[in-house]
Amino acid sequence: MFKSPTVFVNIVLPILLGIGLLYFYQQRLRSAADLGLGEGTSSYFPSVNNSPIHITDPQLTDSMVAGWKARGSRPVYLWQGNSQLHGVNQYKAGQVNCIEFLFNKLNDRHEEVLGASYPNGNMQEFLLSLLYLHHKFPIWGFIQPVFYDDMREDGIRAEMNIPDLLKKVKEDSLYFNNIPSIKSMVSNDSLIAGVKADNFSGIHATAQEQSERWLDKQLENTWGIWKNRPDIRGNLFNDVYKLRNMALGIKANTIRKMIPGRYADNYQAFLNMLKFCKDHQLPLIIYIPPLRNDVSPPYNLTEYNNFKAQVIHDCETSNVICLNLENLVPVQYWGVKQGTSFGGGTEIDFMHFQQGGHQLIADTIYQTIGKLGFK
Amino acid sequence: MIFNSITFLIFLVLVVILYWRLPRLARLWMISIMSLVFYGFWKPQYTLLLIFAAVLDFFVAREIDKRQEKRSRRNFLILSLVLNIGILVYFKYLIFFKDNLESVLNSFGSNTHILPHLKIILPIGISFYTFETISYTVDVYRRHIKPEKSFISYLSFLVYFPHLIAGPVLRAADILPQFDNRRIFNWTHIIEGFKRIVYGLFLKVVLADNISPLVDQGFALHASALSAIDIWTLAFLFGFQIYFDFCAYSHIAIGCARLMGIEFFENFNFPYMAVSPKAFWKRWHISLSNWIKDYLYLPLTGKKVSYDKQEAISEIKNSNSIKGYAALFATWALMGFWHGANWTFVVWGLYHALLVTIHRFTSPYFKGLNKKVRDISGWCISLPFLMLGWIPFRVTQLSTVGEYFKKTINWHAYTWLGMRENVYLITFITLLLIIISYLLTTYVKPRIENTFIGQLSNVVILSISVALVIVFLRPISQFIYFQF
Repeated sequence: MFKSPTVFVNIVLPILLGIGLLYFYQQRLRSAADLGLGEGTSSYFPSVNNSPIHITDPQLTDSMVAGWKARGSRPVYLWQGNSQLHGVNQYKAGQVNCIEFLFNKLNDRHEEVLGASYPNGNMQEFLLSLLYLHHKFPIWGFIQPVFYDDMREDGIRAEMNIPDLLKKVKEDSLYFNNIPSIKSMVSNDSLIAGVKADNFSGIHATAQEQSERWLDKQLENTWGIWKNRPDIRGNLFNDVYKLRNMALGIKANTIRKMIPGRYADNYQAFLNMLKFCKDHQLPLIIYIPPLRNDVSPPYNLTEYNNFKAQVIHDCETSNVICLNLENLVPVQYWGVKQGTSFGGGTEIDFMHFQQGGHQLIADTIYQTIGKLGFK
Repeated sequence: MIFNSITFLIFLVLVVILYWRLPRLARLWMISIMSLVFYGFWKPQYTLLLIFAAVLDFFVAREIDKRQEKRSRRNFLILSLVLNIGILVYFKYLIFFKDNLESVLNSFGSNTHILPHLKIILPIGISFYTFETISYTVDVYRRHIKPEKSFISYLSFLVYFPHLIAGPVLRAADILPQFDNRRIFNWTHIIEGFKRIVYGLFLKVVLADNISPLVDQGFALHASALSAIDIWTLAFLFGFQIYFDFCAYSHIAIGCARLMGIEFFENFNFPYMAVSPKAFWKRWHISLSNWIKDYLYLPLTGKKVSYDKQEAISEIKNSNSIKGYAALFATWALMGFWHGANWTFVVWGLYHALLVTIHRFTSPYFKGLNKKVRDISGWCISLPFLMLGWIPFRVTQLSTVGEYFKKTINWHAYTWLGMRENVYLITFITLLLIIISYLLTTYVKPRIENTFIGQLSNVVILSISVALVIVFLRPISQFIYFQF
């Protein structure tokens, strides 16, 4: 077929083998949404009449708000958090999460709750999300857990780079001016560092954008691998992460130290959140989230205790309810997940609990709402 | 059109097929037209600017060649320089000059606006093609080359799409003869071109684009949130990002040209393995370093250009005079300014001039050392300082450059870490991979190249690269050097 065998060896064979590798890899793909949770924990985002009542992408807000309006625009609470809200350990079909539990309970009061949770979210993102959702619908009360883990996170996810939100951030700059990372991003007219909004950012507003989007769509429609590329990328990164953990012996219970710069920015975002709620007379429930108490947590305990004390103190100073739910979820509702390194077996899941834990936390929030008499 | 896109790959296949099917003259027309289409995919109206640059220097060069009188020749050269540099200044530097002049006037209490608010879009690749067209005219003026007789040949050279936007900075003398000669199809061209393109895309879409978010997030943090170790890490990480990004562009450019049997000079040669600042500039953006030496540095030192010798700027003999150092610093300041209309780029240039100067002064003291010891210690000392030089290149405010540099000499700032552990780990592993890759390429590859093991490694590496390129190929970002 080819004039020289080297053409086959140097061009045809590598292309065939490359594609073959991808087909092989594709067989063992996990959905990108569940990768961060680890096997053993599943994401659950409830919806009512096909409208979400719990989202992980702010761009789904309109659909969530449309559902709320269709149900009669009842007084609504917003509950935000990280993957603890949507991750259900040892999930079985038919089980629900804390948002759905609270939603059902609030029916009696002719009220409802809407949820927004972001895997590995940070306080800066929670502040942005609050600002955006507050702008989208009249929040009656607001529930926010303050996770120590989230204080280590940084950056704003691409889904939050919404022009409408950027505009709001500029208008309400007093809640962001003292957070240097957000301030510097806003000065670049973006909410994410580097302005990489989507796969086509490099050709945005050029004549090539149209041809590229069209070709990309054609390939997606005709070639499974092309369509699965986001999941393949997610799985590849997850494998690199597992490889790192295996090489360095990192496990779920490995101590994570506080990162000063990130902690400062995230804690400032938390303080700004308190101020935002006060300025907008938005009733607020803060809680220190449930933590496994049968094993030592993966934190430097001095740093963690200082963090807790600081949160409780600042809530008291601002006259905000702060629930300490550290010991709320008993041992039997916690579980294990697939290890986060190759050949690592199972590991303790410190973040996500089973349905029973979701019920307990929803009950506690429901009782607090009742006691506070938000209505 | 950008290389890391499906549109480009389809375009490339089409051009290569047409190229080998058409006779010589038709090839040149096809290359010119397709190159303009390639450029026009960004902003069609700016192709006129490109054509203007080609027409101008094609005719000016002919006039220069025709005339014997030195003054008349010089006048035509000045005409070309004024128009070319004038266009570059208008698009690239006018806003910068306006803003700076206004700030100076404002500091004297005048609230004057010299010009209304300007919104000028920088034509992509203008700095590169302006340098190429200038070098052509200067070479004709210096009588190093004869002017090209055919406009279509000259246009093909100037707008040839592989190098049009971000180099390598080509010389007419190297490329025009290749266009003029009838080239015979050979599968070796296709194999070499294919490999270079795959490796280039791998460097861009797998490495550079995935390092980029870490760099962006790190530099988005306020200086107060970063420790000294973070600053060094970010300097290294950005150094890797820009290297992979730019080296990728050069690989793809060279690969595309190879598909058509055209040879470009190499633009990179493991720059981070350089054992001194001088050696770095013989390994990094080689075509620009040579251009700057021949058309800026040597004229500034008053020395004659020798096209036979490929010397680095810092190697020029008898340059240790005050005039020599003045030329060195002026050249580097201009080199920095060429990269962007911001004082931070000038600082970047001057920083490198300083490194080269320090190296000139200190290297004689180490001449007695064993070469291996000298090389290894030279590398260990040079690399961190070369990497630190990327700070003014990456940040946009002079004050931030100062804050970052100050932090690196504050010992208390070395006692904590401000970023996630992964960032340090990725930086370390990347450096390690570069070293391994250098050692393999230099010492192992030549020995096994023609053996079964060599062939097998080649197929395995290419297959994995192809798979990863398919997964990561997205026009998510332009190449960094597009902005220059």
